[in-house]
Amino acid sequence: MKERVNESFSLKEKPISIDVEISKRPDFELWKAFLAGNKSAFINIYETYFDVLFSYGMRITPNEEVVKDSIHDVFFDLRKNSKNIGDTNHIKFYLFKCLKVRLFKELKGWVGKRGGLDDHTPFEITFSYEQMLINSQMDAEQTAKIKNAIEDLSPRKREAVYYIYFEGLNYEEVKELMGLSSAKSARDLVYKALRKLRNSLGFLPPLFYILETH
Amino acid sequence: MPQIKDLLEDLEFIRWVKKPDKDLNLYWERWIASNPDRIEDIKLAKQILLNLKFPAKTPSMETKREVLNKLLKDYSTGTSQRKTPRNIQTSFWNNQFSRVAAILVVIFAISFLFHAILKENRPEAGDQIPSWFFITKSTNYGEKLNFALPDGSMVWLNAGSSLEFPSAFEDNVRLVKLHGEGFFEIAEDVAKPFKVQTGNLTITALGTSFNVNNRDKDDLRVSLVTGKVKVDDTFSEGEYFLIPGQELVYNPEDKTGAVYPFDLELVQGWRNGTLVFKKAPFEHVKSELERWYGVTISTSGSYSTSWHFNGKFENQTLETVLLSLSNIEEFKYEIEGKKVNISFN
Repeated sequence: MKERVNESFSLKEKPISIDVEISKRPDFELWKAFLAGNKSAFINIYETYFDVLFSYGMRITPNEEVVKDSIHDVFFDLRKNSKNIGDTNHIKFYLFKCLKVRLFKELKGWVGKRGGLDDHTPFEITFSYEQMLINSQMDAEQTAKIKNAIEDLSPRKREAVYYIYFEGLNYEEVKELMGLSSAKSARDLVYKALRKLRNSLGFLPPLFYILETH
Repeated sequence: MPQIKDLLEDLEFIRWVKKPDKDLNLYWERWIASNPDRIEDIKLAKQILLNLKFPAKTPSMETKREVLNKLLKDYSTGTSQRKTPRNIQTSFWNNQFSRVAAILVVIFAISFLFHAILKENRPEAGDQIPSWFFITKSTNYGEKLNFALPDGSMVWLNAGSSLEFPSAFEDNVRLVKLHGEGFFEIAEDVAKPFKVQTGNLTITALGTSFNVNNRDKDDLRVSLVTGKVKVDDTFSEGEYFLIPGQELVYNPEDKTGAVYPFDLELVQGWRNGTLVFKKAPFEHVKSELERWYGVTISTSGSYSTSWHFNGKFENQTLETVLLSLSNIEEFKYEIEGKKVNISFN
């Protein structure tokens, strides 16, 4: 019975994805205008994405100057090399990719000169106990455990989870940003993160039983 | 057995939880309707998603402007003048390279300058940059204002109040600053909490509606109509949680607050033009009338300290209000333009 229902209305068939294409059209036009040297297109993109890019950079390195300069260089180089730059339907993803490459280039010069980057947690994730307490689903001890478990995730798992759950990127984009072999491995990374979370909890609050695979 | 792996991996599901829109709502309502046994799964998956937080460092406005200005300059000259000086020991090669680069940049800049001078020197119209900016909406005494914020949230400003907000909200927070009194109906967006800063309190809301009253002298009041809010006291680092029907009454002087039930009519009346007084002392009635009608009221004679007025006026003129007030409380009044004189016997 359940099988049949799922078949007639599975998660795979989504009328929405058509709309997604349409809603991304503006990115395409805006990007073209920017590469063609249109000033208001540039300002539009800059105003829209600077904060996001800055926060993204700061998730990779705590060095604000490096992040600032790298964002500058990304925008500068894009315009300079505009003839060789392709179209995109997703500006945010494109800029993320550029910024990540740039940052890693920049950071090479820094590594070794500054010891470790001590209290920086790349791609930090926390579990909002505040909200949990508001909803009074769990007590403080339980939420603290989940919080710790999340903080124990490896940086790569956190990074993948961040792209999917926070930035709303798709698995294909995560694959590209993280240099993975396929979209499936991006999906696996996210799933492993969720499973690790569950496993690292000695005591399982009811909420997390659901992560069990069957 | 609950099973939510498919949901947590489903990008459309994530999109729906984070940024619901009409199409997504429709799709998922249909999905739930055809999979009624999975309502609990949906709820749980939603809970997990909503409580994962990705704390972000946001740039200051100066940083944002600084890079923008540099870029605009660079675009117009075609050269990058970046490199905030860094204290890195550069190697010989790097050093040499940057010297060569610097010389090239200088040559390029000079040739560019010549070029620019030879060309006709006319200012470009598009040079004025509408950089990221703050908008301030304010009301004078006697005025009220209703408008939408960039995210679709609605704001009602009472008389003598102002609200500052950015031309576009940041990616992870919607922060506004309020002086005076305002009512907020917040568009739901769990990924971007809505924060109202007033005095040393910060009110954090998800999708919800509430009234904030922070006028000089008086207690600061946050009254929750629907949803949930959290109020942070940046001074004492204390926090208050409100549920609908509750009001935080905060004393800005001794920085203490307490939560009470509140009278919806009293708090909400101003939005639809209803002036409501409940056991109001004269000073309160006076300042309320001044603000509501944009007048200044002077008094002569003395009034009893036990003066407490109850009354409700729906879209009435000042004249009508004063007339009925004076009948009950026994005083005489004169209205001259924007000035009112009240004399007690």
